[in-house]
Amino acid sequence: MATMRARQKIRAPRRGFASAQKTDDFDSIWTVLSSSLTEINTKNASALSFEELYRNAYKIVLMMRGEELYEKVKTLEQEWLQNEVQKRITGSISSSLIRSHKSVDVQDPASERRAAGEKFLAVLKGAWEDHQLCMGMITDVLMYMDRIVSGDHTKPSIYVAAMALFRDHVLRAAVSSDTQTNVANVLESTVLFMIQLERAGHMIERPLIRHCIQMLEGLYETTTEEESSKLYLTILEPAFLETSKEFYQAEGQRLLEIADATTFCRLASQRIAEEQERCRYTLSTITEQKILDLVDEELIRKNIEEVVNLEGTGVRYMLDHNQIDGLRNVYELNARVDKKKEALTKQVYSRIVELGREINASTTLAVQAPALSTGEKDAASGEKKSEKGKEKEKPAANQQTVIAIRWVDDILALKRQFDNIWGKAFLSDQGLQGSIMTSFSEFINMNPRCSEYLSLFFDENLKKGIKGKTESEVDTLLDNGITMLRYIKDKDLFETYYKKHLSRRLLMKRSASMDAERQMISKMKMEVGNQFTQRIEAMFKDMTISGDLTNSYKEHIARSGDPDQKRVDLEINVLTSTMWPMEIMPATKEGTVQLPCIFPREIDSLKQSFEKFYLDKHNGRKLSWQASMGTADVRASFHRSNGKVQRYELNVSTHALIILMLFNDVPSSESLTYEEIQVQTRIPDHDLIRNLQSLAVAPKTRVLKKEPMSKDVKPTDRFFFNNEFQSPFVKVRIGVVSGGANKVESLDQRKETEKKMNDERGGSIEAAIVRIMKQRKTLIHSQLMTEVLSQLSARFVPDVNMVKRRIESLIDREYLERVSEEPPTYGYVA
Amino acid sequence: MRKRSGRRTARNPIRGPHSALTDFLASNNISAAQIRDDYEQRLQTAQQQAEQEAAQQEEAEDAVEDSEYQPDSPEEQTKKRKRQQAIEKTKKSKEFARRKARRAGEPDDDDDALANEMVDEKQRPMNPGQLANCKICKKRFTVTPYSKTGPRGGLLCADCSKKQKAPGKKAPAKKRSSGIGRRQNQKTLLDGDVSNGAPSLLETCIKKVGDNIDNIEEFGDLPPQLMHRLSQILSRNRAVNSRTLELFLRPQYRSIDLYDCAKLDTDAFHKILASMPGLTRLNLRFVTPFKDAVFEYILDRDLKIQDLQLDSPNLVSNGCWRQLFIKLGPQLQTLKLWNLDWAFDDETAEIMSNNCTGLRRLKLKHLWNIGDAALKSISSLKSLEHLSLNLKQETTNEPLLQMISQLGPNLRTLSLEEFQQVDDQLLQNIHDNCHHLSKLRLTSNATITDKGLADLFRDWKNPPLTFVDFQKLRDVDTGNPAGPPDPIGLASDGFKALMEHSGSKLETLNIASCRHITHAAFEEVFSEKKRYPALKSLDISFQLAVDDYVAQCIVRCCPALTRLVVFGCFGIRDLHIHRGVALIGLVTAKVTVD
Amino acid sequence: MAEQSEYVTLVSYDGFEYILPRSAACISGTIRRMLDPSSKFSEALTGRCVLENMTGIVLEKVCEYFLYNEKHKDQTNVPDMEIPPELCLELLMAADYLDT
Repeated sequence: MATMRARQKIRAPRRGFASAQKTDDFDSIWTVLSSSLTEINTKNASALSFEELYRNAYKIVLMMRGEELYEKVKTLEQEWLQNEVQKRITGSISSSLIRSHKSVDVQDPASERRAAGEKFLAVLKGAWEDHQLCMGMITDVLMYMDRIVSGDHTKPSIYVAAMALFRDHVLRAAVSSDTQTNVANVLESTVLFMIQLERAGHMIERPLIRHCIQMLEGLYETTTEEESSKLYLTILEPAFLETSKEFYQAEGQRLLEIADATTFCRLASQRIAEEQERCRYTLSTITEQKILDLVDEELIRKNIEEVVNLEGTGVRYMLDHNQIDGLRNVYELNARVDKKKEALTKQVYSRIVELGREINASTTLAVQAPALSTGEKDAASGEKKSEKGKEKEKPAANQQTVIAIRWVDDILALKRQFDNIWGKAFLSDQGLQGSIMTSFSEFINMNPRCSEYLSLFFDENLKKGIKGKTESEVDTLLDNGITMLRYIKDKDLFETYYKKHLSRRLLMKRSASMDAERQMISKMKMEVGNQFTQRIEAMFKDMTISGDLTNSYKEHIARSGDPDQKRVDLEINVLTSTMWPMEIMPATKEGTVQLPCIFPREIDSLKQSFEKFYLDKHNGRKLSWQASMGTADVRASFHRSNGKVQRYELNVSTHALIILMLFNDVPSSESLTYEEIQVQTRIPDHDLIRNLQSLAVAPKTRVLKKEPMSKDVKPTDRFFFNNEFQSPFVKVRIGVVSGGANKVESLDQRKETEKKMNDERGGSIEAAIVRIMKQRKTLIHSQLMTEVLSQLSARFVPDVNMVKRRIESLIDREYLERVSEEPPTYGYVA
Repeated sequence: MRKRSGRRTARNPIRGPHSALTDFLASNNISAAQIRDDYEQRLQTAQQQAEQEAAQQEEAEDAVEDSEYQPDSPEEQTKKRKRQQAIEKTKKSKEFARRKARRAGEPDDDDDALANEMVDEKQRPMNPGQLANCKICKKRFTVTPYSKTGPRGGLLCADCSKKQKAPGKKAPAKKRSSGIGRRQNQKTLLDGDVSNGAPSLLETCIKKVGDNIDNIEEFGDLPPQLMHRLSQILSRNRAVNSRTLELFLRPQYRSIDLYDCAKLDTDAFHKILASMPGLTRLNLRFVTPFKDAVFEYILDRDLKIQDLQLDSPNLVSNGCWRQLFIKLGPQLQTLKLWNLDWAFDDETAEIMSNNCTGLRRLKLKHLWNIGDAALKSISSLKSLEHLSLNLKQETTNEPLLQMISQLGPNLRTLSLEEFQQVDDQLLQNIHDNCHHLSKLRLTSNATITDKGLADLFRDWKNPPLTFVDFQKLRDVDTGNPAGPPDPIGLASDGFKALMEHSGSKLETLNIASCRHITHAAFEEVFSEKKRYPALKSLDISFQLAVDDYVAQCIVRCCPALTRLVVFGCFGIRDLHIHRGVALIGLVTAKVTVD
Repeated sequence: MAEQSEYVTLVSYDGFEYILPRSAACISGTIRRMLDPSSKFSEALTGRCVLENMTGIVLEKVCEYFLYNEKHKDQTNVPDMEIPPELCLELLMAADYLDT
């Protein structure tokens, strides 16, 4: 062994060779170290050598006395803090700070207290910064000790320990010997006082407070330094939140007492911004969420409902006066505390329904008492008033149409207003959009005639309204109407009315623009779906085909070279009976077979000629003639008593033509009774009366004279041809009373429509049930119900009882069977 | 080899730790040593025979030798013969071929000369520590195990070795990058050392000291933490022996940590105790030579040991253990024992539990002779904060349940390995009783269910864990690889619940072989928004559900990851990891470091 | 304080001086703190560190390490630095002292 190590042994580092000349025991090293540390504390380090201090600490640690060193340094720092730093700080605390420690009185001694507070904060800030700096340096110097002594985590690093010393011997030191109040208490009350000042509108020294807060953030309750044990969180923040809570409770009350919603919202928003700023520049960002939550809770959540509902200035007032900014404020505040913005939503909803009801009410009022209300009606109905004249029926009906259209216009105006508010004030909020939609839908559907009114609105616009409007204007107009259609629940009812009105427009050529009609249909298709417009489109198709038919018939006649000079020109519309509204075909009315009316000879030959032509082309079809739907141009000669002959061109209904033709064979002095006319024409009573009324009663178109002269037509009445007929125009249009134009239905008609509607719905429901069952084979009752409802909801809202009845009926007819009773289940019978 | 056999033939029959094979053979009455000795003997006889034959041949040849030849004494003749034989042998060796190639073109291109030199070298007893003359500069120097051979044979001094190396440096450097380099890389990977740049000077020096430990007489004023580090490195090099031990003995130090004591004898242990009277911590591993006498010494001297950690002191008798606990028990704060298969029985455990009342840490791993009874007695150690158990005997559930109920509220660490009988009831007990755990290990069990684990973590009042080891919690049934429909062990739900509960603080997670965790569960746990900021070490070995996507998600969700173990994750083919992640266990995949 | 010089001087106990880039010297945690401008120690002011417990030989090796470390910053597979065995213990102490 000895030889092995001979010369090549590796030198062990020589023990403490560097300081061999100096004393090498703990105490002497410590003496050097401690005096240096004191120098550091007094900011006198530039003469010191880092290396020397480090080496001394290193030596002590190598002596295995690192822990002793650690404790001694702690003691040294503690004494320094107690004897020097703490005195300096307590010295800076003026009596005014201690006295008002608990009081919250902001008023008079404010400026004095404020100055004292600032002085105190500045001294504290200085002490803290010095301590941090010095401890940073000391920690660096004692790094080696730290690595060994606190390396196994049983002790905090010297830096942490020194911070704890600052906490205990400076912040937690009593201000004076005779009081419990410590520096931290004074700091807390001073900071809160400053914040109070700022809330009251004064300027304060923000960076100074921020520095002191940073100190509290850098200090912890425990040496493990968990986030949650920051002094800021344990001392200041709770107190701050507590006082803030009190403040905002009072603030909420104060603002409510002002009783102005706009002001409330403005000030509340301002407070929120202030608190945010305070957290960023004065306190700590970790408090931001907490204080905002507190403001939300105390200032907003607790008051928002009251604010929204404030009489005279609340949301209702803002809505009525279109105060976009105010509403936006309300919206934003409400959104802070409530995702659903319930208070606001409720108010908006109820206000819309209220306004809608008003519209509905004014409509019903106008319908019930047209005469009374005309005086107060707006300009539009005012015009009508002058035309009204003595007869009431026609204008009344007309006025109802006007009311219907005005109803739609009013709603659209309301909608526009709310769309504007929604977009600008409610920032296009989804929830509110839904609420606005349901509220519109609700009040619109409150009006039982909404479908009819809307259809009338379209009718009116497509007939007259769009004249002279640009394409885009028409487009918006139609879009608005479609928007309303969206709200209507019973879309099938609308379809019925629309078809009815459309057929009149088509057959009587009242449509202003076919382009607009087609546009309308494509819009409806987009909104409601293919199925909905299918039949309407078929109507258009019929019209086109009929046009072609008329032309080819004319050609046919020309080719056949009929020499008849008195030829009657025919313009024919062949309509597919299932596609067109039933009620315009009186032949099928109430199931009784109505014999076709007797056409005059000329017409009859024309009819037969066309029938032959048509059936040659389309074998196996059946044509039924709808005289009630047709019109005719007649040239009539009136032999005046003075011998002159006055000719007029009369545009009359086909029925009226038949009646007038009778008088060709009657000498001018003789008359025909109602019954005679009836027998000779076989025109249904209902139509006959109306036509006679328009020919003999209507003042401007009195082509016939009636005896006795009264409004009503009685079977015993006699009719004369009126050779004295006068008209300022050569062409005279003689409309059929209450038949020619699209108007609001009478009660009877309405019942009629509803009945048809129900039949049709029954069909739809059955079809839906069968469709579903065919696919599912067996299904529980409740599931079947939901599926049926969801399938049909696009068209109408089916009555549950009706669905049940239909199911029963299908079972009776053996389309379905009951599979089980518990739960009730049906099976599909193939 | 020489050293080892030397140790074996020493008077002391105690041997160091041996392999499982040796254990097995011994239990079947077969001695490995016997086999080897037999073999060596056979070899020797064969060699002797060959030598004899060769000698006869040589003698025949000698007869026609030229006149110059001076016959030597018979003794010398034998020597010569042997030498000649050795030369012949040498000529056939690889080393010879290599050297020859190197010398090609040199004037004295003589096979025999070269072979002669080499034999010279071999026969010279060049033990490290001896003196030799440098072949180049002729200076005398001390031979070390690292002394290099010169181009013409002979050893070179340190300076000349360096110079010699310089020209031929390029070639070996290249070679290193392929085979050895990779092995080296894998080694550093397993050490978890993936930091870039140069190693610290401290580590470099420690390594150097470790390499040159034989030349070091004294450590000087090294601080304890460096001594500890040196002890680790020497233990790893298996260089702790009674000589190097002395370097660590410092009367003023209060703790000693040696991780390999296999080469120490009773005297050495006594020396430790005698020279460090202030010892409070005695941490000795591979301490097979530790005998009753050492403990008796401790007891006699009244040492103030508070922290006792011994690995495999298998020669200590039950009686001695009991005495130790009776005497030292009250002052012990930490007791860690590993690998005891002879002594330490249930009764000893009971005495331990009765006496070590202040014990805060207890680790008993691979103890063969304790079972249920010991568990019951351990339950009385009320002050325990850290408990790790791995017993070899099969135990029942009841004592463990009782133990958790009694100790649970105080525990910070709970490690139960290879308790096969443990079921969900234990988890329920942990859920109800343990609320301060930061480390939890439950491994190798096929009874507890996924639901049980999920329930453990749901609404558990315990703060998030930092260390979780659940490896091998899975069903074992080769007939049903997919496992039962209600998953056994840690599966999807349990995993999700675990990460939900502890993800925020978890630093180490081992879920190796928990094979019922689904791909979907991984996707959910490591989805886009999830972050596990503290997770440093993750072992997902044999998770077949892990593919490139999941692995990439893991890397994304764990920014602090430094160690990712993925043995048997065959789904990983192409993975991007960030710098500083040691990725262990991938063989064929493509790994890109960003 | 004057503009921070890019170079600093390390002085051994026996008076050897080594001038090297500040960044290299600051690889040592101890020297980094020593030279930290925010601490007002004399070393920070002068840029000169006297290391009283290191001989010139050791300090030279330490400086070599600083440069070696800086050269291989962020590289993988860094070749080991050659350390003469007879110096390794002293260097180990120095490394511990310098927190390197």
